[in-house]
Amino acid sequence: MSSRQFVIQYVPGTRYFQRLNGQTKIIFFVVGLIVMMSTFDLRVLIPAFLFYFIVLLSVKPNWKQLKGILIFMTLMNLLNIVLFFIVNPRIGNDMTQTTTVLFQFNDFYVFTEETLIYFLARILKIFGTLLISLWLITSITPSELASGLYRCKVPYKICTVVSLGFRYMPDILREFRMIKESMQMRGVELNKKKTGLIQRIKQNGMILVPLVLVSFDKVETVASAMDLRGYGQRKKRTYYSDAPAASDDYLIRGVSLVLLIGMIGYFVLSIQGKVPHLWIP
Amino acid sequence: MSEVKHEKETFKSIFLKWVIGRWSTATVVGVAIGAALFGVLMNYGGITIFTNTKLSTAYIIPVIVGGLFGAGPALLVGFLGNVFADFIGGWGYWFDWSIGNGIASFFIGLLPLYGARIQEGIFTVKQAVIFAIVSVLGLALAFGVVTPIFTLLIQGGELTITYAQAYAAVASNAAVIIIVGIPLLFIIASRNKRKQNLVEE
Amino acid sequence: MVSFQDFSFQYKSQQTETLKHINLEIYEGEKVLILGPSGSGKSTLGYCINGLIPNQYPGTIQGSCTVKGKDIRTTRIFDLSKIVGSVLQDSDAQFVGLNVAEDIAFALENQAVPREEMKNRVHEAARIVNLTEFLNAFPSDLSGGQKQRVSVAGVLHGAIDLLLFDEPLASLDPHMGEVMIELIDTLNKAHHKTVVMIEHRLEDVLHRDVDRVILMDKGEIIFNGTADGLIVSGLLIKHGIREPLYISAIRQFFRGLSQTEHLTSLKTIDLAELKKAPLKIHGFKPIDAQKKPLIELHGIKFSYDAPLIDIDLLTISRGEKISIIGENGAGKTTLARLLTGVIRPQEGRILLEGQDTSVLSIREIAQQIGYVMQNPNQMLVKSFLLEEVSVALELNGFSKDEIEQKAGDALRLAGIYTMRNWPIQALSYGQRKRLTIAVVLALNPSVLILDEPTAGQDYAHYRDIMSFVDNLNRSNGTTILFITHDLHLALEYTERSIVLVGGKVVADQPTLEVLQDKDLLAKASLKETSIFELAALLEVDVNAFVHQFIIHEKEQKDE
Ligand SMILES: Nc1ncnc2c1ncn2[C@@H]1O[C@H](COP(=O)(O)OP(=O)(O)OP(=O)(O)O)[C@@H](O)[C@H]1O
Ligand SMILES: Nc1ncnc2c1ncn2[C@@H]1O[C@H](COP(=O)(O)OP(=O)(O)OP(=O)(O)O)[C@@H](O)[C@H]1O
Ligand SMILES: [Mg+2]
Ligand SMILES: [Mg+2]
Repeated sequence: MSSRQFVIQYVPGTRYFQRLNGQTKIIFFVVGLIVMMSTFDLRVLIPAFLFYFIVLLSVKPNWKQLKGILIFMTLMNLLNIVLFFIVNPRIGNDMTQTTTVLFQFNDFYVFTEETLIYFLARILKIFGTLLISLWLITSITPSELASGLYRCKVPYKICTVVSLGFRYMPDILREFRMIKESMQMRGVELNKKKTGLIQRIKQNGMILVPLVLVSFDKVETVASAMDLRGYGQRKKRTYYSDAPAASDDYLIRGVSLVLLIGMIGYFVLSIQGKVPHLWIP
Repeated sequence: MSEVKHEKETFKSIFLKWVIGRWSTATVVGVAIGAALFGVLMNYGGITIFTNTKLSTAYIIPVIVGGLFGAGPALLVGFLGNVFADFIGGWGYWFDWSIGNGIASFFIGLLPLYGARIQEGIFTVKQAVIFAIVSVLGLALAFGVVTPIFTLLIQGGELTITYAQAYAAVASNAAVIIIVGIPLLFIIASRNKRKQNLVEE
Repeated sequence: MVSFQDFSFQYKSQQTETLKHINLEIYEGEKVLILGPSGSGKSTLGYCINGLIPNQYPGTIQGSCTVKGKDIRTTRIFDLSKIVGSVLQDSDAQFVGLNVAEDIAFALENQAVPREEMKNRVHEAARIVNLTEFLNAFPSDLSGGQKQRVSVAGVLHGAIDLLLFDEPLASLDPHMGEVMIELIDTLNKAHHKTVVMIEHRLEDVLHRDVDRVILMDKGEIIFNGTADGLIVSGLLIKHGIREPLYISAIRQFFRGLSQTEHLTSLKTIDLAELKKAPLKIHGFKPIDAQKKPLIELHGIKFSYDAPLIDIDLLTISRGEKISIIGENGAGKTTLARLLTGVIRPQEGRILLEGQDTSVLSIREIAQQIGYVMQNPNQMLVKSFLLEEVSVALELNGFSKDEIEQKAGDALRLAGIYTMRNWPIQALSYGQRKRLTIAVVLALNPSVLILDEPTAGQDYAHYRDIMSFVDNLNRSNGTTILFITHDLHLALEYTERSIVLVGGKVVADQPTLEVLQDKDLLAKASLKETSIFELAALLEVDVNAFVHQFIIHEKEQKDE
């Protein structure tokens, strides 16, 4: 059992957007989130969505692995939107204070252009965020994440939590399976169909409790091993996996900076009321 | 894990030790392993109730980290654990929920503040009751207030639906904490208590 | 370098002292071996040297202990870590990096060494332990031996004066074990490090010379001197440590040991005298097994990420005793897991008493086949010893009285009954392993698979367990499968051996034959035991010699 079944990969990728260093990836990711989060304006969302879609495509993610997730996310969000519409069909109009009715069912259920645009923007935002996250997850290794966070001035003890966490996750998963097997060998029946809910909770407890106890028992040994190699005594530390920034890194950081400045500009304009909350063509 | 020195406990020392947490190597490792467990359980440790509805067992982790290391470390476990879950499961990164998880975990992790000392084997029924109440309040605050605010900020939306999801999260997490978490705390406490004064008999 | 003066230590949670009045000096450049039965306080002594006591494990210290002049009571673990490099007993837990290079670099990262310099030093350390090709490997891709070498590399940097190894051989195959001992020797001789090594496997350690051996029992130092002196003294057997096999054989066949020096290698033992002495060995007749098949494997194929197990046909009969041997990573544990049904073959069938096991649940198979896992920590699920043994009995519907009876018996057998109310956390590794054996024995299965039952065990406990299992086989006809790296154990207790290389069965024949087939041994990274070498050197019939040695040892035990 190994980390290979995780979506995050422990082996560094080879494509352009995977070869950047950890800090650059984090910056690019955070700026991407800011862009996607701070507006409902389709003029911004559509190009941004396309841009990040291309970025994600360029790293050739393992679509087979992501398929289930994407289907699930799509269904969830479509369902959400239907629910939104049922609860408040004028949600878009509330933002623009205008009403352009496209279609009318009855007095309450109207289908307006504003709401349509609103839903479109919302979908773009959610899937845009998902694209950026998926790019990060399929492009950053845990080592780069830890050293990149440190470069971004996150205290190193938190960076250690990140790298140690990723270090032990495959182990924990393997232990989880082992304990399950061990309990089954001792006579626990773990058949989903044959048992009731209470019974199932009990049985899961029988696996869960040892897993948790065994894992936390390890804390002492791991901490000893770290102390014995001088962890936590200095204010600073360096990272083996911390690759120096190359010209591509500066390029992408530059792009991110431009995006960020653009978004700030947009934000200032929208505070001054020069761009509408929800842009209608 | 083995510091049981009896220093005088003033409010300030308790606050520093249990609310902020003392960030020794053991705490760092405890939080890391806790967050890793959280991530794994979130992805693989659900108890199926109906098809497609799962009771996530991950929520017992902040309970334990809180009991062992305090509220600050519990907060980090809730937050990073959720991030880990997103990373290994590929769900995309939902930091409105991570923040909610962090805040809820913080309240859950306050248990040393009202006297529980899991490492020394101290956990009473009264503390368990307080624990249950504080946890439910914490969950309500986190998922009923904080997460919806962030969801609104990030995605915009209709509060009714967000709230419905929040209530479901509060209810299922509270169930896990009370049904699985409390007995587990009793187990660990009794283990640590009996760890003292060992003699062969 | 290290100096203990009338030093005693009591863990906070214990009511008695774990180390008692230790007086010990370790000098610069020495290589010292610490021997002792399980639970005698060897690891505890190590913790004093590297500063985990009192920094991590609080307790009461009496007397003094200094490391390079620094008193351990007042020195921070960080300062000691610049003098002492430790390789702990559990090589999995101390692998904290995400890959090999990062783990080796960990100490340097903590010292904030600049990245370029760090790279060079990591490569240098990797070169010393011969891991240069593995720098990007993940912990899950490494064998136990490789992991241990990573741990060694991680403490080699800079001005470390003393290296401390806690059971570096515990789960290594014979070939890997030799490599490790040679590595430690190089570090001592060529890199001038003082070495302190804790091990049970004396003979394997003696593959290279040691300057001094210290024997501990119950927290006290029993012997402190040369290996020759210790062997001659006869204290080893008394304190439950196995002598080198050739020494036992010489004692047995020639009425004692007359030579008193150069005993640490068979090559330096004067055999001329012995050859003249009359040697009485009985003829040897092989046992013929005509039993009916219990487990049959037909065309089994299994792969995790890459193909691993590939077995055409394998039959195991009722009442047989079989050892499964092979190098680290050969697939021994995987084979056991296939037999117990926790993993299922991708191709082929496994029959249990003629019934296809694919229709049986793990639980149903487990009622016939009991499996003691390699890593005890993965099997132990409860908080206290007694609960641990009882849980399976409860699940299988025994009455309260029966449970108490059976659990008590199993714990007594494993030699841990006196600790039945302890939490499992307070047990040493060897004690945990015995607990898992107790858990499985309590259920009285008809097939028993023991995955490395003797790893980390001292000789006395190991014999207790093995002779019990042997009895079980004789009285109940229990079929026994041992997975082991200890070839002498295989020879002593099993008639038949299955040798795995890369997931394939390369030999399935009487154990004695396997051990004489040099080509086969080399292919499977195994090595013949010294008793075979001795027989060859004495120019006697190997089969008969070995056979009689084993019988005699068993008789001695029964006395
Ligand atoms: N759960 C798993 N997932 C993926 N690969 C595995 C898993 N378990 C074992 N392997 C790999 O399969 C190979 C055989 O492992 P196995 O544990 O069967 O070896 P072994 O013969 O028992 O070795 P050892 O003597 O070290 O215990 C190894 O290369 C190991 O890395
Ligand atoms: N952290 C601890 N707290 C309390 N008691 C302990 C602790 N560690 C070890 N002991 C006790 O001290 C004794 C000696 O243990 P130690 O680990 O030093 O033995 P060992 O000689 O290394 O044994 P093994 O060969 O099995 O590793 C044991 O009886 C054990 O129960
Ligand atoms: Mg030990
Ligand atoms: Mg194995």
